[in-house]
Amino acid sequence: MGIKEMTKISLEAVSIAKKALDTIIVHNRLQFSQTFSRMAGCSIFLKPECLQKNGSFKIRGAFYMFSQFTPEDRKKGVVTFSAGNWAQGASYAGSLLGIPVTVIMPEDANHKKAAATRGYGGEVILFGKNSNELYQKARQLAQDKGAIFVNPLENLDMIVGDGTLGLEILGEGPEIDVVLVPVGGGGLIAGIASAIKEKRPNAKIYGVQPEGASAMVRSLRAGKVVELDKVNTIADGLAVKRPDENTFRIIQDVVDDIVLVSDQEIKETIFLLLERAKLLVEPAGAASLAGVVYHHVPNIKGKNVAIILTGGNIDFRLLAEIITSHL
Amino acid sequence: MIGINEIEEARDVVSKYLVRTPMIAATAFSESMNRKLFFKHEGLQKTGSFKPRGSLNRIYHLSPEEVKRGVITVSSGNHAQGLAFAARVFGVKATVVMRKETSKMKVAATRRHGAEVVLTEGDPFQVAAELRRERSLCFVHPFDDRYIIAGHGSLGLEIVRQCPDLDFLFVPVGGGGLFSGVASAIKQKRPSVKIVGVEPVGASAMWQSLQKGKVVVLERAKSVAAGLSPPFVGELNFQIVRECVDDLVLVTDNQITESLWLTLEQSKLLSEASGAASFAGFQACLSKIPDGAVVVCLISGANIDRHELRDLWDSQSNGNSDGDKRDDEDFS
Repeated sequence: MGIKEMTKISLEAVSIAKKALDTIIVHNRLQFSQTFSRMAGCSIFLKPECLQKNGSFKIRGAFYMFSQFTPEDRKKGVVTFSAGNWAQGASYAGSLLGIPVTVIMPEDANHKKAAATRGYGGEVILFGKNSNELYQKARQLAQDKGAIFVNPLENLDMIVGDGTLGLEILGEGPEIDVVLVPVGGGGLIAGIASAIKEKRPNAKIYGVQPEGASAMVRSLRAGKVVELDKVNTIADGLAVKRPDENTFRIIQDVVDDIVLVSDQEIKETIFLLLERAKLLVEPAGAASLAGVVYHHVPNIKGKNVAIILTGGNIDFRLLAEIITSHL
Repeated sequence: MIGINEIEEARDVVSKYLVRTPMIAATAFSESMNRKLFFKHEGLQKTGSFKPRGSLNRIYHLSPEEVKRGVITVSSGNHAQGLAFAARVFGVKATVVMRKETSKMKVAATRRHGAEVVLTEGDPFQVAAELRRERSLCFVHPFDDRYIIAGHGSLGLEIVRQCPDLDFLFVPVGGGGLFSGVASAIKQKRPSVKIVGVEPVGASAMWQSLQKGKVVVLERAKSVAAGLSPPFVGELNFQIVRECVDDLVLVTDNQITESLWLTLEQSKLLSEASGAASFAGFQACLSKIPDGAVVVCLISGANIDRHELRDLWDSQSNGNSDGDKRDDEDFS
């Protein structure tokens, strides 16, 4: 049985993905942070995926997914959609594997992200505003071109690839008790939690969502997938209205809980990360750390806590606002 | 230059107290510019700069009698913290003379590492000389010292290990301590690597010394890159730079400030102005770097506080909005 037919992510699958990614990705080890440990009352270890190629973890899932394509599918190329990091990860992975990648990005996409995506060899088409319009357009275009349509919100190979982050954390530094992961569509935490829970069942995995985009939290409370009317957060990478059914079920199974943080808490955390850890982290990426700095996560006193900083592709206008509002 | 054995010994002395800082691949820049660009980021080193490398090696080589007396030095900030850190590691008392206008963060950090800080409005070298006599301390020069240089050389060894196919290395130049150490290591380990020094226009002591063929003392040295602004370079540093340097480029304060933000965007790591100068230098001679070349920009430190950060942002903000406007037009 191939990975695609499974609804559960196995440690074995993630281990295979880790080998496939070994020479492709950058290994930035967990960094202990004295400053944040003091603030959070536990031992904080940062996993800076903002230092990953393309400035986010997305290359993991993208490369692994594409590497599983048959030679014929590789020739057909990929059509996908994204407002940000996935666009860059997918086009870079495509360029490494010789797969043509077309990305539908929203009309108002950050021009630097669009330019970066083109820089990695991806074709960018600007179309529509919300994710539903992008989704429809990408599907249609894939059909017209005879290309492979990839929905970044529901793909098990992608989750397996992203899960390699979990395995990496277990292999570094001291024994980690708690892991915090930002949650948008939930693919990343689903992969990480699946890998870690199978290897170390006692470890706790918490997700962090912005208050203004709490679809996964509400879905967990309701016991079924809940769709939000609207999302409102500076963490554009986490602004998801409706989680994928399959991803939701994995999360129900392997994630301990998901906590909420405010946009203001995220902004403060971005500034602190820049000033103290010298790391540039985007709002989605800083959400996880905000969860512990502002004490939203239960029972972590004295524990070894790993924080996934998912990416650093922040809009510099927002960064300007954050810098000038301090002092 | 400093012999490779001395540098390798220094590495063995210092490495157990330090971290191996990351070599960051600037993928976006590399793809669009056809050069493979990496940042070696010593801002993540202990104390926020490369400085403890030299200081650890220097203090390790003190005589037992010097250890008892304690050490004194002069610094604009990073060397102070590096020396204070190293002195504490080896249980030696450290005194640091700093200018009164030194950033509060740097003064506080130096005290946190356990050193006594003396602030002066006068010439810090003179004040240090007086204190040294009064208290019979051992003076540690911030750059003109072979143990300091050998300690910094450990960074050169690390760079060629992390990036074996390196073609060009850009290094900021102030007193010349970092350059002379790194260049000594790399020219012996990998002679084919071209090493380019980068100095601010407003503090071009090394550039002028190279022109004149001897160490020149500037009447005035001023740059946004405080760490690159000593008014003179070291004698030993000058000799080594003259022997090892493939090129030395001058950059303006504007170029340095712009590079700080670009480095942040490309590497996702904050650097101080002195640290970002290497990237400014690389951009200034981009046309001379062949396609496909592997380039490392050495980011020497990241000790920048929120006041400096905001000032640098403000000084840059006009330029930024212009740039955005242009891009937006291209985009539509």
